[in-house]
Amino acid sequence: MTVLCPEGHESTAEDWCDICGSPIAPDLPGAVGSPTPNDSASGLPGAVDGGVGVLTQPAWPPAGAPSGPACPVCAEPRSGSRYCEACAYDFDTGAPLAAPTPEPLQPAPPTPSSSASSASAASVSPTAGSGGAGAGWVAEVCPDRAFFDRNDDEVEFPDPPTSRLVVLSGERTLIGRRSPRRDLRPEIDLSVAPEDRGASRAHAFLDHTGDGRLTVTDLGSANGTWIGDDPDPISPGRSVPLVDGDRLYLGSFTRITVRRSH
Amino acid sequence: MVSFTSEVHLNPHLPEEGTQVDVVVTVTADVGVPGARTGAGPDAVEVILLDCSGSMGGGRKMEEARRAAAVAVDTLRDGVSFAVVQGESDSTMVYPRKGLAVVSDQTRREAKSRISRLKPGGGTAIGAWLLTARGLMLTAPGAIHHAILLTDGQNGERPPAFAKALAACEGVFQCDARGVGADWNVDELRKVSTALLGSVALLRSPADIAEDFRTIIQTVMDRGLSDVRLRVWAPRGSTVRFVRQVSPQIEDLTHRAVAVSDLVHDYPTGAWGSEVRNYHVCIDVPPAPVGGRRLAARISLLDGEETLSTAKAEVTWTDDLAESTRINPVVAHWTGQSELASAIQDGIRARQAGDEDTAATALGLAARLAAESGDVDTLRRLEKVVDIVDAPTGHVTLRREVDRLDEMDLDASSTRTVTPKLP
Repeated sequence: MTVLCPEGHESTAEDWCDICGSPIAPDLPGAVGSPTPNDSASGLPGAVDGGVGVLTQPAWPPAGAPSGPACPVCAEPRSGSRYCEACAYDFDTGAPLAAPTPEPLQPAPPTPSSSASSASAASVSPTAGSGGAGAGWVAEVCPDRAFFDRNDDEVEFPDPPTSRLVVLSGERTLIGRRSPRRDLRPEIDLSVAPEDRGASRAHAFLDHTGDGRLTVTDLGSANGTWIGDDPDPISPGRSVPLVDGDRLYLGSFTRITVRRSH
Repeated sequence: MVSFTSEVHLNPHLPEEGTQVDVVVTVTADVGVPGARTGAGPDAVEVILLDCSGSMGGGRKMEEARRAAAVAVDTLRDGVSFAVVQGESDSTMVYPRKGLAVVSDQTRREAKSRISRLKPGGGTAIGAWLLTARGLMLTAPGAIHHAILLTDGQNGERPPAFAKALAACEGVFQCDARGVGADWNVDELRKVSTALLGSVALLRSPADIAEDFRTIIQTVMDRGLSDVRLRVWAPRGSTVRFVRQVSPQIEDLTHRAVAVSDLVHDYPTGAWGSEVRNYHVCIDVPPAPVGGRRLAARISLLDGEETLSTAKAEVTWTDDLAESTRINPVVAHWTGQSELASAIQDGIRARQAGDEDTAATALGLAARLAAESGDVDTLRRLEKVVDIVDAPTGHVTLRREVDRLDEMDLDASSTRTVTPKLP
């Protein structure tokens, strides 16, 4: 006895397709490919029926969200900046971090990807994205003396200035400092020794979509994010495209160099 | 009455195009009262492997090993099959002379009489001892197979021979390995416990052996299911990054996968008593559009072909950043415990290699992770190797004088985990 799943597979399991995992049972709304605006499992306090119907617009913020010193989403006390340090909630507009506005950076997709190149990076998922799965990125994180000297922060330059390489997997990488209390575990964790306390807990995002583009978005960090030699920090909440070899500067001494992992 | 229940912990919200799903399954098993079972429950086989090499003649080691073996024999339940093996450059049957004996008052008495006459002499060949145990186990198919290994020195075998022996024993029996004194090699015994789904520990003083043996045998006697498998189904197009037991101790099971079909893999978990274990499964699944849902994994425990329990990891894709970046505290805890074990082992390796900066960084990370998870036992062990200046920031300084026993204890205990303190 088999049932047909929304994707057309014959499944012996009657709750979720035993081929592709799509929901089958009637009480499991929202088949893969037929998005629902409201997610009953969200568990958010005050989560309301979206009713909006626009897929890119989630039911947000919760109706009657309390306005006060604490973030209405994650209860993190407001640090004084416009964005919540823990979850990037925007206190001014009551919206979560604006979806990055894609700016065409490299119109041509990367050369036909060889899956072998991504296989060398263990944490790069071969299933990520659909179009250029080989277009991976890595980030080199290391203390930068010249940047540190410009900053005049009251900290010591790390000795030894150890660097590390982070393979960017999935499609979004959080730069920040780990905070179990705030349920925050950045992939690029600047609380790992040598800790850079000049970086905010939730400092910035790197977005790396399947088409091989990479952008950085400052989450309203306390001390800002700079790209290359630009004298001004990038604007919070705006995604800025990056190219191979770009250097990000943030915190008291951290330099993050992004490279394509070919 | 056997009952297994599974509880799932995960953040079910994935970001748009996100693929990585981290699931922790907490399995609570109740196997009833073993020994009180009627009918054809699995019988148990216990093989006691005692190091009787020349070095055991130092201090009170041989004397205490004899006493511990006698306590172990006394702790065995009537009707269980057993053997005592003397390990030297090769291995010799102590009791019975050949094959396995069945526990009764008479065989206990005879075994203890032979044990009391054991004398030290010869070398250490752990692989050869394990192969002897393997031969004995294979004479009793279908039973719960367990061995205790006690040694005080480093293995004298060439690494390929040792590795080959371990591979041969994998899946045949489980083994808890114990080192007494400060002259054994933690890595070597950890290889045994990892391959044979057991534990490793340091026994500081020979006088500790007997009580430890009693605890181990009691645990084995309370086991009611011999060979339970963890079965993971993941949807087409997905990749299993790792499958890891995270409690009571960390065991990476990823490379132990046995393919049942394209989408289903089985992992060995050994024998179970009434206990709680946690498994961390990390899978990359093909993303669905925002708002779409998918079953990312079906994680079951099986005894033979009987499904004992099933847990389902359902995920949904969202463009709500607050939801997709939220971290499940249970998943975070077990991830931290795995990082803690690696940090301790890395730190000790670096310290032994004279790389003090790396050692201080790694052991500092360990101190921070241990403090965050409220792992006071590990903090206490760390404090004997480093001075913890500030645990929350991971600031430690290496101690000049470290007792080798303290460092070995920290190393051997690194894979033992604590359960999360949750509100």
